[in-house]
Amino acid sequence: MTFQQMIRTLNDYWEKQGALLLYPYDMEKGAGTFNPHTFLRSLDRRPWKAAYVEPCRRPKDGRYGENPYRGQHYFQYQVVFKPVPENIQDLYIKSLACLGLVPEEHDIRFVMDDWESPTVGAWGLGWEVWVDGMEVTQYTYFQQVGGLEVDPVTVELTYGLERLAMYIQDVESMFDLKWNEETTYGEIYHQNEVENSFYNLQAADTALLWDTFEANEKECLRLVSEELVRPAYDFVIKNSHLFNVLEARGAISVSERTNFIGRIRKLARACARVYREKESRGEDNA
Amino acid sequence: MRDLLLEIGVEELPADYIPGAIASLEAQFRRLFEENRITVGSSEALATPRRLVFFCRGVAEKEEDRTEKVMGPPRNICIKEGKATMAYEKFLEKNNLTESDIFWEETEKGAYLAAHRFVPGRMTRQIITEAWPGILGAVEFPKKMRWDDSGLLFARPVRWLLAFWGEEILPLKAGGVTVGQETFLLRNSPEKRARVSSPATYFEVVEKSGLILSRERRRKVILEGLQAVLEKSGASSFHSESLVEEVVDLVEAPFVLTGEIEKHYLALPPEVISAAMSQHQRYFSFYREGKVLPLFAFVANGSFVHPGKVIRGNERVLKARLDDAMFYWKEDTSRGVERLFDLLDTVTWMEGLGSLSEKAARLESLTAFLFDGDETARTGARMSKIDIVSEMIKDGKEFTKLQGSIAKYYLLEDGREEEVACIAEEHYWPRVWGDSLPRPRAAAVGLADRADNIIGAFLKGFIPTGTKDPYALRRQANSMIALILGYEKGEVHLDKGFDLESVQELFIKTARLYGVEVLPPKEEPELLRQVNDFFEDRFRAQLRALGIPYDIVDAVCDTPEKDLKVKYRKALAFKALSGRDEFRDVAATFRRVNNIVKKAREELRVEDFGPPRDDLFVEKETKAMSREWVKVKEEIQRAGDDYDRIFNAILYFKTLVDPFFDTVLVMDKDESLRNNRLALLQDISALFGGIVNFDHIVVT
Repeated sequence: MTFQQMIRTLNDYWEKQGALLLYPYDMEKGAGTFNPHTFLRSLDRRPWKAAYVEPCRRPKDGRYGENPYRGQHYFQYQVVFKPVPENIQDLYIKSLACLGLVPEEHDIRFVMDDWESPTVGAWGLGWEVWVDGMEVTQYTYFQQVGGLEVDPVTVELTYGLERLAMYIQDVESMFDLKWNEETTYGEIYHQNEVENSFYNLQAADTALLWDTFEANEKECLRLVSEELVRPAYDFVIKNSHLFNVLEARGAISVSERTNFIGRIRKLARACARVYREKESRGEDNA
Repeated sequence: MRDLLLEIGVEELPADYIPGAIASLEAQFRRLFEENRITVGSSEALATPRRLVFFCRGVAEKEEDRTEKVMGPPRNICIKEGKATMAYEKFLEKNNLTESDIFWEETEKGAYLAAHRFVPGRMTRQIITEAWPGILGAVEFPKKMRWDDSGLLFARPVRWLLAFWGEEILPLKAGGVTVGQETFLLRNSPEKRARVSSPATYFEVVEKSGLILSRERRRKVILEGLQAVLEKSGASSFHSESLVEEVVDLVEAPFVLTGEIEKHYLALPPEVISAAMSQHQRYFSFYREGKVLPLFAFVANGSFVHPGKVIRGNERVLKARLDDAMFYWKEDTSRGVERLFDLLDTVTWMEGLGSLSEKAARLESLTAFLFDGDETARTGARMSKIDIVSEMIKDGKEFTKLQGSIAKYYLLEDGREEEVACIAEEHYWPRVWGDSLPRPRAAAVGLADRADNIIGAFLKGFIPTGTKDPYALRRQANSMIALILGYEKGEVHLDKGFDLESVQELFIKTARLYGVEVLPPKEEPELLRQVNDFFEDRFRAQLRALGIPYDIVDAVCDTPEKDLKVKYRKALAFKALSGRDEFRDVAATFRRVNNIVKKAREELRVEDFGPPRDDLFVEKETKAMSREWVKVKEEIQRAGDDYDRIFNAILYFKTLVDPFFDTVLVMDKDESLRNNRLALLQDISALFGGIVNFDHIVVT
């Protein structure tokens, strides 16, 4: 099964479960959770079922394309359901079966892994899902997002697409994955890994990034005060990514780290609060 | 009588939640039965990651009938002018009683209307049904969650519920789930669910499916599997026992499988290979003669007819982790130890307290003080932190727990002296009270490191209070005490202890290295007072942990003595002496001496009554006491640390002090006589007080 077939299979499967098939958000981000389809939508009371591929960036994981398992850019497949269907675990296992990972032949395990993102003031309980010892999905029941209790609870399933594909295609390096029958993952993304690793780890202009961080923060707070939640939230995403680049670049000391995370969290909480307020006033119906 | 069976089906519980959850479930039911006088047979609390099960045999149909005494109003309210009142009638009516049921109960406050009422036992099914929501909500978990709008908080979502009262189904709910008739089986078995009609059929169905409800039986299966691997591979041990305990609660049906690793990974230190296997993946590694074998065992959930895919998958994952470890190992060793040492400069140790290289420098200078400038010890101290900046350890990977061991390997790899390498590893020992002690040089570095951690944390205001101790300073102080007393594996060996006469002095030196100005003994900054109090508190707690009664602990600690070993020896001696009949009386007498001196100082506002003068003793009791005091004093000084001999001298002296107190009034009107008596008592109080503080001894 090629990489693109895998995505199509998951899309087909989750579409049958009633999910909206959506698209990635058009900004750099560390995880599919940052997409407003997850972050903001988990804060309101309306039902929500969505599935989408999310390209993610983790600048620190850049290895110049030399590490077979790790990259600063990769893909997640994200599924969010609210309220949580009673048979969600079963639905998830069946999605693996669609990819050929049937429980009769593979050891599928739910290993406790409570999730927390101090940057966006979110936490939840759940597992990392193992297939034959390999972690393939993060499975979380959100409890708080943006510092607010969520009600109803949203369940988030985050598949690590490269890992799953490497296992399914039985290849040793993500760059050897078949995107389709003719083209490999490496042919599309290897050079991107090399150049962006250089950028993240060596070339990024930290002074410029600092200034941008400060400016974004101001803009975010201004927009929050005008209750323009979505544009304000974009600046949370931007700053979270800038923080990640600065950290990869070694420009943030251990002691400053907590402080910066706190600054981003403050913005995320402000956005969450205003989103919730507008929704409860009936002014935000997406 | 019926059997009761409850199964709460859940999405996978965290392994370490399971033992506490079933214990609390069972305890609640036992309490319910006891409180309601429901007779029951034996019960069992069982669990797998997907289910909590409570089973109880022979539960009575109903609680026992009983008679209950009901009290009514007092006689003068019930009977007025010889006639029954409304209150009287109401009581009968309310309790459904007739004249023949009632009697007058005599109490301290007079006679009250009373009756014995027959209370028929309620039906057990009803009692359980009513108590169920409370029991379910009170199952103990470290963390609970919400998942639907039912309001139930539980460790993970509840997905099914069985509740059999014999063959009858109790009408229970668990959050949004209503009791059903199906249990869920293993995910890899052909049948995913099975119908159940009674407790007996439940156990049949479960047994047939291969699920093992008992933790003990799962443990046995795992241990047998590991034993088979040991025999087949010729290994002598596996790593580790504690992993077995965790894996027991990670699977519903353990199936031990083995995989292989390529031989070239064996170039890595065995600890690294074991950590790659155990830390995240929960695989078992195998050892023969201290060397790791190129294989591993893991425990799959449920049996597989063709486990080949499962094994290959696990081998792949492990290979990736070992590749990571190999990459770190090569990166670190190719750069050499000096490069790592230089990197210490770039890492903050604690916010505002400088870098790791500054810490290393402090450790070197403290070690020089503790170990007479020994060059090897100093080098060990300087190099003790190099692995913190290594690829293998930094950023909290699965190998982080190997901090210390990794430094040792890198130093050896770099051709450094073996003793230096071992210091880097062992200076963290004992990690907890009771662990093995390090060699002496490592002990010196370990004392320095912990003193440095404690002073640093106190400087930052991270002072342990109540349950808050983010830097685990209590454990660090305990380790210092273990190093000094030579405590390991449940026993104190003073000869193995590190000779450090005064921990306070080490703290002062450490504080100075941080730039704190200290001019002892008078000008002790608040910081050091707090540190010393904290340490003293730990020392007393550890003496108690060693079985010294608390009053003896306080009596030997509340003296000017600073040497922990001396205090320990004294504590042991006085613990033994406290068994003697005279001990409490001796304590009482000399406590009285202390009190008189203390009170006189306060009341007369005299700091020091000076040396006693013979010519001012008049009574024969006073003269006798003062004459003997000179001899007793000499005897005690000669006795050294022979506390039996010291105590005998004190005991003898008591026979002179008692008649003195019986006949002489210390606070004489004549100031010179009075002050001279006080001078003598002050002398006694000071000498004994230097040995043991009798004020703390519990007398009665």
